[in-house]
Amino acid sequence: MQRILITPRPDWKDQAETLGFQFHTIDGLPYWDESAYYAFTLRQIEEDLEQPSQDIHDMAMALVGEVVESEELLGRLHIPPSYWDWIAASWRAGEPHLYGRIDLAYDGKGPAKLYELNYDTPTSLYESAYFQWLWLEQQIAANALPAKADQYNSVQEALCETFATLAREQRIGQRVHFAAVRESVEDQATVLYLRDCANQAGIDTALVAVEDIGLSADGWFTDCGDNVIQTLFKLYPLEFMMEEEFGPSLIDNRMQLLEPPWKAVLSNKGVLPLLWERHRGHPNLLEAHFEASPGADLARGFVRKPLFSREGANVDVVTSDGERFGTPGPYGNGPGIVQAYHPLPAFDGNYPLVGSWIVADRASGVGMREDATLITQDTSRFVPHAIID
Amino acid sequence: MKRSRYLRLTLMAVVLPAGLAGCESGQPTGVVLNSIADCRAQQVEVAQCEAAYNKAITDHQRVAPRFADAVQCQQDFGQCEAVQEEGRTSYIPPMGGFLLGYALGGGFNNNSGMRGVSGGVPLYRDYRGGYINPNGDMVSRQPGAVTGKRGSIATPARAITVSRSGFGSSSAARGSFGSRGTGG
Repeated sequence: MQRILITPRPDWKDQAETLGFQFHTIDGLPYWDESAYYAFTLRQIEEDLEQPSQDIHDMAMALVGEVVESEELLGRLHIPPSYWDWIAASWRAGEPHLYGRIDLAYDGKGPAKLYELNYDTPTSLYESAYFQWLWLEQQIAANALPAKADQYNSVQEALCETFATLAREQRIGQRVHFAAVRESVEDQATVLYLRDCANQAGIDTALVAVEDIGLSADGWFTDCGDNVIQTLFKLYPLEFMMEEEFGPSLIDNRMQLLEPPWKAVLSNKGVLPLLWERHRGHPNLLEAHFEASPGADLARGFVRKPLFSREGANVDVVTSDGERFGTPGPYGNGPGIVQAYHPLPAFDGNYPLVGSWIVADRASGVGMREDATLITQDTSRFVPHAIID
Repeated sequence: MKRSRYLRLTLMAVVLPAGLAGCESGQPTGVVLNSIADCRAQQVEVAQCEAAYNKAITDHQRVAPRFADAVQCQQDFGQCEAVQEEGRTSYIPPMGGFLLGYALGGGFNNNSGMRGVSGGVPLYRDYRGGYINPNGDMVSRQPGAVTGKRGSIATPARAITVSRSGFGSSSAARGSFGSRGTGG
């Protein structure tokens, strides 16, 4: 694994603008950064990232099956009790799911370590699945990369296949609505991209902003045209939906959700200690525990994360030397977990985090995000990768 | 190879003129007709079309969407009729057209120059004039050819009991999801 400088494609910005990647620059700062790429060997990809991702996914899925049948575990995850039956029923019914992202710390040697699972509302999908792929194809065509260079990235193919299969097996409605919050350019682009994949699979699609979802007098969720929403792909946290005004109506199951209700288990940082309890010492897991008591001092060499948080917000770190740092955020002082501190590797002063994609149930590719600090946040940069053997 | 072989974008590629971008691949899969009289103007054997229409008429009572509440049925469709089943009264809309499904592929038979027919299902006109199939899905807003799954003549094995003013009912409230937050 190396970080290699490379000349950006001269027209990459124009391409991004016309291909729906308007968020290549966020708040004036570069987000897409192709001035460098990470080079992996095929062995590193297959043995250190692909197989471990598959293993972690399989462990996570087994854990869902256990959690939904246990009131004690659902309680430890602070999932609202009024939704337990709904979540469990969605699991027992085999409600389909689409994708998730496993965040791994990996330095090219030794086992990749699981930081966390993003299984409910993962972003960085479009740039990983499509724009990164385009970069590789064009850099090969321009002789900037060897002809036999490759990339661990069949994410879009897998997404299209998954949509096509779900439609063929009639496991989703005849029309699928795609929703994100109205004002988020990045989230909107992510759902536009997923909708594009569904469209390519021949599925009738529609868009609705999360804020615009309506509820009819007799309990149907509707879009702006008052059409019933049969299946909703929502890039919006299940735990928010459950707390908000319309939440109780979800239990009526008149609207199918993608990701399905059982993903509420896996979007919760509490799965990290539960996985550790069940697979103590697994080479790809970091030691993790539920926080003993709120406000208790963080032991040296541990990271605290709220049960419910995203984009690296509200993370507190105490290094083994006792140094403290952290990130602010909106997720407050709710219950949390602690996880062994395992810093990201540094490459020329950059700290890359591997986002490993699971589509349906298969490990399908990776995308790299770099930050200038040890906590990867929504300000990090996306840097492409290649397999160079 | 560890990467996708060939990728494209359809709806997202804004360089394409709107309308071209979302085109489904080619062939219609069926056609929405108002009555048996329309069979003569189709690219199918008239006898096959009429048989499909008669099948739809026959299936209508069995597969029509059921409403427990007469008022809801009236609001969504109008002219609803009460039916007695297993000691319960429910309400069904009148058949307001039918979907003629094309045989797999939707292409023309080389000998006859006609399209093959896979069958027919009754359709129901909602209060805005849309054609709704027995599954409750919108097939089209007007008569004529349809593509993709809209041409599907699959019907429920038995009537689904619905009490949905979901067919375009007005929303009682909005803005109750999405007061904060985004993906990660």
